[in-house]
Amino acid sequence: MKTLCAILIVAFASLCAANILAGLAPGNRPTSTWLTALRQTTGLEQNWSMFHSIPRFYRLHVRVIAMDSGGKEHEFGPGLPGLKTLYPREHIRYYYTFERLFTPGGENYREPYIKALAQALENKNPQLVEFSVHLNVETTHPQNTPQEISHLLERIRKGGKPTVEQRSVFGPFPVKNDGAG
Amino acid sequence: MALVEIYRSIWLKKVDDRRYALLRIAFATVMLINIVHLWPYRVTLLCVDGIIDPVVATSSGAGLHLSIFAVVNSPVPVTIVFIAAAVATLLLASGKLARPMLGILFWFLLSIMQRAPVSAAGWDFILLNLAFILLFSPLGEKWRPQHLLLRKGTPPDPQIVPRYGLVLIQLQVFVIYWQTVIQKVGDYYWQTGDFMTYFMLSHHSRFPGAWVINWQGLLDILTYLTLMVELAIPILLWIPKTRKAGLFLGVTFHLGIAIFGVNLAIFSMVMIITFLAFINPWHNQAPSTETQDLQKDAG
Repeated sequence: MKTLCAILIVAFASLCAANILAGLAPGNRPTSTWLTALRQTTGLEQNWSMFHSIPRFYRLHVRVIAMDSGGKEHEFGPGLPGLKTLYPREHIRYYYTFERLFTPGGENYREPYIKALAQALENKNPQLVEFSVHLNVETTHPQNTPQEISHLLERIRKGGKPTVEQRSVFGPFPVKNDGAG
Repeated sequence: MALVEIYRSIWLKKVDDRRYALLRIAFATVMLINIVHLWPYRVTLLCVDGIIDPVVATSSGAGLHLSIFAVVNSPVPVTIVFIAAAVATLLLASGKLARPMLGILFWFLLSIMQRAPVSAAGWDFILLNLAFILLFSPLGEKWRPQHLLLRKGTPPDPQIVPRYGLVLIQLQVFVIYWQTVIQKVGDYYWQTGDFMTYFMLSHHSRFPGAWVINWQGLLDILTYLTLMVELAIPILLWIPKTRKAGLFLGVTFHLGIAIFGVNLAIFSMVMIITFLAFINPWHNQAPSTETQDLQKDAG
């Protein structure tokens, strides 16, 4: 029994170690789906890319602006349920969430979120007809290329602001129909 | 035969079970802090009428979808799961039903990451990884926090246990630091030394502002120093003679990240607890069988 236990431990530890050390292997080697699934489920996937390049955003503010049938604007927060105001700087996971939802690749999550917003707005005020999601981003460098970014420090030296405000508007989406965009 | 002995030596060499107990208590403590951190997000990110669509979350990623939040998805039950996870951390720290509690915490972490993958932070992956390794490792369950940290109560006799769990965590620490350095050295801003200046301008900085321009020379040095420190920490921790220096460097580095960065304190705590896999505060008072084992190994 002791020998069997030792064999199991050595086998288990060796497999885990091989997987961990594979994280240092050069290149992106294709792995089978079941192996990827196993690695993701056990937490043994090796992707430690913390701050592998410069962070771009200084501040992120998300608002939902809805229009009623009379043309009047109503402002809401992006938090569901309840259309609550969220503070991504204080609550880092909201920052990650909205950054990933509203950048390329986040469409799968964004579309059902827009639908859920439409439903929440309809429940809140049946007079609302359409809405947009406004992303106000204060970024240190709007263009993410070294040539553009190198101007940033020069700009600050000349007394300019360290950030540039960029506004992205997603919408308008109808409140009452399928508002996926 | 020699290969078998090498394998035995790497994985099955005996160590004091208090080393695992210390790691178990530290892991439970950081998990409790992480649960407190996650508390305000539980309805918005994990409930069915929250920001993240459960169907999309289930269909994303390649992992086996085992999230409890696929079933438990309204505010009160989700809150109950959080309270249960918090209780599990307390039981784990006290050594009561330690392995089942660790299983619960592993499931809790996995559930959150699978239900809200777009909201995951870097430390979630490290905690999940640690939980998995500890789940199959000795845990030193008989040791309570009061025995190890306060030196109160009647302590149990130290036991000797195989060291494979500690070695796996040590390897993981190596790969975390070295892989991140490998990725960073290929990046333009790390190469030019500008990274730290831009980091200090970003929302991750505790004191963002134009002041960085006047300190650019120092920040350039800090950029390169960061790479060297990340390469050095695991090596210094690995070598017994430099272990204290590695510990000092690693703790100082992560305290610096926690102080100058915003929302990065849990990441720093998680990395600091992994250092416990390298240290042995009881090396002068090893259990008798461990001494024998060590002598046998030396012989």
